[in-house]
Amino acid sequence: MSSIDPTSDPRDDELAERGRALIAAAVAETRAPLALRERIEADRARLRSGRRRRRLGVLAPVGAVLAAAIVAVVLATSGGPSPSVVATAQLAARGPVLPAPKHDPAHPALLKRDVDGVPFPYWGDAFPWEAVGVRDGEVEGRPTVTVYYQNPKGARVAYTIVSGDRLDPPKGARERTVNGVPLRILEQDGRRIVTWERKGRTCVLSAPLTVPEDKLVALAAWKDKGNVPF
Amino acid sequence: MRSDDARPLDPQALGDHVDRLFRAAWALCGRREDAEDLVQDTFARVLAKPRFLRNDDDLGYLLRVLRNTFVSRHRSAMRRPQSVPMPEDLEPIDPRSSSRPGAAYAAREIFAHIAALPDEFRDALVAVDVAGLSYAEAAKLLGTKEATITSRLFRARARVARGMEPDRQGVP
Repeated sequence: MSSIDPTSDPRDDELAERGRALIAAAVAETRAPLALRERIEADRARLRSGRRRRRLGVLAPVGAVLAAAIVAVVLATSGGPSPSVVATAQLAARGPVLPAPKHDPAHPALLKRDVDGVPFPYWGDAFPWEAVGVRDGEVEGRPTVTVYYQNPKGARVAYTIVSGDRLDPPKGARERTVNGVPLRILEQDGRRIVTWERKGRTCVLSAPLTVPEDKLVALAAWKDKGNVPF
Repeated sequence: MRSDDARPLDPQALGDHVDRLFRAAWALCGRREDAEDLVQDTFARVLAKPRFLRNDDDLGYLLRVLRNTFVSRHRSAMRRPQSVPMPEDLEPIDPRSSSRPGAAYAAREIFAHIAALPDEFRDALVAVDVAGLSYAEAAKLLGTKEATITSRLFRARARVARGMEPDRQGVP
């Protein structure tokens, strides 16, 4: 091996061999965690059920298929992100109208406010973001609750949970998985919007573009070792 | 377009490669948590639609997707505006237990050193020493010659060993 680059370092042969052994030991020690395998299997099951639903759709009555096709064409040609998610973020941008919900001492990672049993997280201990207010709203007939969090620098993020079935994922959003949570991210009207699901409910976290994406997604995907239900 | 000799990639068989992909992802990212997300994203990409391969090299294909996913994530992270840095640290602490904490710590250090290598050294090391490809397979994956892989491996291994020397710990 020393013929490869004899001028570099007289110890290179020995170092390369030691490096090979160290790497082999690390590789032998390392296995994919069970949680990762479960996440992959859950993704696979979700895809399987999606394909089954699509196949059933093919067997549906012709009228229903035509109607669905028309809707699909309208949605596909309308362009831009999903109106519901964007509308949710726009509503959230208006700011709070009610006092912040209280911290739940019985569940230190949560606030005493939820939507359909999906509680808002309490970030005050893990991050310097405190809940500062609430706005109740409605997007396309769906009740929403937005909790506003603020950091010591005065930056503010809006965390909305939409009641009822999940909203369609926004078109044109980038996909990114953080902490095992599939997120969709888009920028719209000067705000960065992250949307994902918790227990079948759509969550939307939005903030001015000055809040870095990595910070926003870390907040969205924070599970506090399972204490924040997903 | 799918050629006549292409065969479908069997989703059920992909689970056999999770360990190797996870190690490769960890060595690319340098952080265990990022590696988990990268592997999950890779599988999501592969499973999103039926895939057809012209050879039996499932692992090589998966590694290519893994590397492409890593590169595109890295590039989009670089493109993102680095706006208003905030002083708070949002990194949640997620300590993981291990039956052999000492070995787990050493593995973490080694993967961090690999991730910090120059790209061409890191990629050769990940392909051969971490993922277990042959020199020929690694050369094909990385679009280079076997001799180049040999040379890069030699240098990369030496750099990792040098980085792990007691007086250089924490200096990848």
